[in-house]
Amino acid sequence: MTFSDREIFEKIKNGDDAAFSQLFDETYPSLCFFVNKYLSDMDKSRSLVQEFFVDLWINHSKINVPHTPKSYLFNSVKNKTIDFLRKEKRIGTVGEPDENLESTPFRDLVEEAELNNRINQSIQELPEKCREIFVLCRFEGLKYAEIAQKLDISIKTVEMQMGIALKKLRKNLSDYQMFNLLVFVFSKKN
Amino acid sequence: MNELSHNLDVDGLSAKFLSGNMSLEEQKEFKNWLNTSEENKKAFLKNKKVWEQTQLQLVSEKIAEDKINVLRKLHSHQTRILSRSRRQLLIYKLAAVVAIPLTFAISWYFLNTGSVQQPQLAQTICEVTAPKGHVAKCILPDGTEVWVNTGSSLTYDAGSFNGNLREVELTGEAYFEVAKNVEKPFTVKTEMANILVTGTSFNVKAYSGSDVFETILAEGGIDMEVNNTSSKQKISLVPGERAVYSEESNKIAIDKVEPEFFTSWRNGELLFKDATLNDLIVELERIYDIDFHLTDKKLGEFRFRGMFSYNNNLIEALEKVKRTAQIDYRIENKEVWLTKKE
Repeated sequence: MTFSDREIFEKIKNGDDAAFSQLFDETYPSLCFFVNKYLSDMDKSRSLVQEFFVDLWINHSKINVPHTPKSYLFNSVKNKTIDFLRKEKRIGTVGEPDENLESTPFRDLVEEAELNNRINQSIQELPEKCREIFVLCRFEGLKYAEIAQKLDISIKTVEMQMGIALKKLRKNLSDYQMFNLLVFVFSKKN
Repeated sequence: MNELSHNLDVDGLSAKFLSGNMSLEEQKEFKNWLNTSEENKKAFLKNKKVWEQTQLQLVSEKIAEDKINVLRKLHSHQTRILSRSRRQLLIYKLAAVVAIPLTFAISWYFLNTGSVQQPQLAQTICEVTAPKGHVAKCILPDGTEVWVNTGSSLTYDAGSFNGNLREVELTGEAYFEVAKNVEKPFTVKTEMANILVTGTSFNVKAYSGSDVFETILAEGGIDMEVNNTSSKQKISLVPGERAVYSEESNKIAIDKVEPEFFTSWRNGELLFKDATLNDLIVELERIYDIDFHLTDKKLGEFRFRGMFSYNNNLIEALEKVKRTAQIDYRIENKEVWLTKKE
């Protein structure tokens, strides 16, 4: 992760489209997860972050290379999100912003988004069969027996593969991230 | 615990528990089992947190889609800016075609003075060129429609064109839909060979610097004759045929092709059917005016099929290659380096 890389912004300022492409690859998912904390709507979050990138490139020659690129990025999309919510509120399509969110420090939200990204990446990197089973179970809510039937495998295989998936996801997180994970979930409960 | 676990470790059991696939009985048994080992308890706690954090996923395909979407928006923004300046150019060109007395000076401006001889007074040479990455379409005074491919140029003498001679000169590639007129044959002249027709649709590829002349007939009939040979070779083609003349061998080869694969460029599309990366590179270099380098020569042999659009920007095209061929790219100045993806 080169979030803290000022050089990449220098290059973008000079019109280097490869640098722009790299910045997108490295930061897009995290930014989406971050915005989603405010919107709770992944599709809307995605299009908002896309807009941010379009604006960034259109105005690339005018950007001030930020001292802390990471907070610049997250702050920019946060402002965009707040603007968006304000407009929506006027039209009345969304309710009050999540109170919990207001009280959570910005830095924690950023770290949580990066954590979401890390776990998401780990899911994408699971072995194909393993990922398929995990996705069916976690995201489509199928029971083990249903998965076994659908994929024409034994329930035992499903059980094993789910175990492998969870182990890999857990192991892919560094101790620091794991620590954060425990802290966040804890603080949210209070 | 034996009955419950049947070879499942703490992760397998955690998953089964967290996903709600354990019966009440099993759940109870599992909780008791966890209490017997501090290590397993810790692992389960972590698994539980990870599980809670996997509420939604953003799949790689969606991310790639979104990126293309951003690039497309940027491209249309860029085109909007460019089209403003290009529209002005077009006005000049139209003037060159239509208003003959006025255009002498202007067409001089478009004239490639190096390659064309000093025009005599009554001559009004018009030139149609396509800017890099774009296809130009023009209608000649007789109603013939011509699509000029990127980096190519078509010249004709508007003075004599209105008279008896329907004659154009081409460097590069163009597609012709010639207006029918049996009395006035239409001639396309290139450095290596000429095409003679009365009314038909065909493609001509004659880039300077290439020692190959290629024509493909879509409809009607054409005659092709080779220049600069002692024995003037002349052949006739039927629709769906391609004639390739190579200067080196001084021979014309004819084969059957599907014309749409060779004429799709005029809609700003490049269709490839079982092409190699080397073929694609030649086209991309021409469209974007850049140089490609392969870190491994074997990469060039990679075969694929698909469609590339002139409306894509370079990065979109490269992303496409990256996705289908496992080939990574790096851009430096006006050079692109292709490497095998690890």
